[in-house]
Amino acid sequence: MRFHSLIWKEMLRRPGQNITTLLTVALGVGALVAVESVVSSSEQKLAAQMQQLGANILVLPDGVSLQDYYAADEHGKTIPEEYVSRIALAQKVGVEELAPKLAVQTEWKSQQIVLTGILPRTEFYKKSAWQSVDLLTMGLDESLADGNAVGSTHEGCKGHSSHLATGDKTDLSSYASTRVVHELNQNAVLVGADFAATHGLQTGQKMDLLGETFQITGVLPATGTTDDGRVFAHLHRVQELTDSGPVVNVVEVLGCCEEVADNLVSDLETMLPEARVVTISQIVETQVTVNRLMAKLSYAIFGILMLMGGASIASVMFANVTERRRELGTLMALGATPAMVARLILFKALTIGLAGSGVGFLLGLAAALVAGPQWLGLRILISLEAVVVGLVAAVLVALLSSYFPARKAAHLDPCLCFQER
Amino acid sequence: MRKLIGCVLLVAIFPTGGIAATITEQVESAMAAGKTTYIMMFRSNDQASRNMAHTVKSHATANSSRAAFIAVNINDKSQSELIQKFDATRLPMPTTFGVAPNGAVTGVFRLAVTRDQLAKAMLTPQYAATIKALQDQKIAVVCLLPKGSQAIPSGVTQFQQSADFKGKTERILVSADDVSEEDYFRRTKVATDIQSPVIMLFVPPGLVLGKFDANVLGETLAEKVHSSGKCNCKKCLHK
Repeated sequence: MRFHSLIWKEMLRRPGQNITTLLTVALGVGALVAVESVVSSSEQKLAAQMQQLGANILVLPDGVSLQDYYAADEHGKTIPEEYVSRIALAQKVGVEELAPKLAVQTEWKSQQIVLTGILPRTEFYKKSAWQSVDLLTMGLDESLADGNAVGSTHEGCKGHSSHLATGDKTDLSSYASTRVVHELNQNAVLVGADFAATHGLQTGQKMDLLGETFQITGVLPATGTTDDGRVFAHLHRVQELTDSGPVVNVVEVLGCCEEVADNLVSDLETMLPEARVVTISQIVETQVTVNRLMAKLSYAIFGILMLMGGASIASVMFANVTERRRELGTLMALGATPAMVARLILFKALTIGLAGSGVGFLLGLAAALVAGPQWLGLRILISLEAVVVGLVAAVLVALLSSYFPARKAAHLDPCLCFQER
Repeated sequence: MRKLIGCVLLVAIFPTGGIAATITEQVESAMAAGKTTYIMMFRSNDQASRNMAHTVKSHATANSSRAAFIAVNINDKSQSELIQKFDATRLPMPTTFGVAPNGAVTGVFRLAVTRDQLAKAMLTPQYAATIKALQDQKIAVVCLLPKGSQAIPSGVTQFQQSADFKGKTERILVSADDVSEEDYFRRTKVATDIQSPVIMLFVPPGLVLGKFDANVLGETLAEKVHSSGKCNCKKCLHK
């Protein structure tokens, strides 16, 4: 009989004990893989958000707290729309775009939907044009005072929200990055990608909302955010139809770069003392803390389960050696060396460790893939670090906890084993 | 008693409040007289409104031949056309607009204003024409001409007649002979004793593309506009 067959047959003879031990190890590894994968996916999502929205600032009603940037208009509180004018007319360097929003629940075809009032870029341009004299004065000072007559334009962070976008930025596909649409007339609506797909809506179709008929002038590109399931109309039309007055739930200030954003926050706080001004990093701060806590917790759970698994393996192995004294004694009488007997025990532990981590990996993978997208809206990427740590730790624990049982087996005296009844 | 004093003050400071129907006529009349009109929008008789009204009114009185002051209460429904035109219900109050005789908005002052700011909103006729062109979304090509010359540089004509810009530009001639335009030269930092024309290129809403000498080619001006990405054509670099 081969060495591996000996181990395998012995494991099959006592399946209950081995499966219990294996499951303890599997649960530890599974918990580690699942939680770590969710945490690392969440961190990647936050990093991507920071990369894309890092320079953005939200102006919210005082007292509003939120954890999801994209759901910043779902708190039900409002601020005056004049705040938008204040920011737009202040012409602060670094303010690339302004996106005020007012979200209202309304009924469409007996379904509750979110109608979001947005202000197209052309509306800001109208107000900015009132400041042509100031802009020219500023431009003349910048471009002519130093004798640099040609080529001084507002590039990069010198840009101002006042400039009417051209070319690609007027395209709906730019919405995902600019969060602003270029033009939107009072009787038009834009629909999110998911909303259009679910209801089979296309450009040109009509929608009856709040007692008025609107025409769909565009289907927004998918953004992977709550915006995909929404309908958008001109802010002033939404205000008028809902009698909400000139108010908004939030003003998104799309900053040029993070360096500018810092100064912009303090400027906005001074300009709008009645509002709450927050940066994207402040919004994700809570999530980052939760992630760190979850990561620590997952290692703590893993550690506890590994200790339990180790104790279980040691207990099973000791019991196993005691039960199999005669069998092991026979093997030694037939020529098996103490080292071979010890290897027999250690290989069995190794098999449990490897199988436990394998099953744990599959359990963790399944849990992460189900829970991530459904409960947390995350696209899961498996944490390789957790897989490696889980595998190595499970094997080490299995081997270490079997060391003493293996040593005990190796020191068995065949003569004494046969004398026992 | 306080309310009574408040009402008296309100009527004294905002004299147009009680004769709402004539406000539009007053604005039109001031514009027709070639005056810069300061239209102050306010919501209530608060301290900020009183301060602003005092500053604007005293500035308009001091420059009565060139400026007029009109106050509009945004709660006055009879003035809804003017209020909507300036989207006043969505602006911080009080706010004062400077309006040139040609209808160009020459300044918007929120919550507080100084006499210096108000003075800057009084423009020369050609400067107001430049601002009006920009607010009408046209490219302004300004020719600052030396004394005794009316010759327009050929590059300007080429630029205006090019396929990309035909009908999208406004040519504004500012002569050094015209004393009323001295302020235009001062603001653009061009000396009035220039020997040859100086061309300046502005795009909406108030972007300075540069200052050029009389020999500039039409293509150079066109390239400048394209590289700014402000004409929204295929040649633009979309900045």
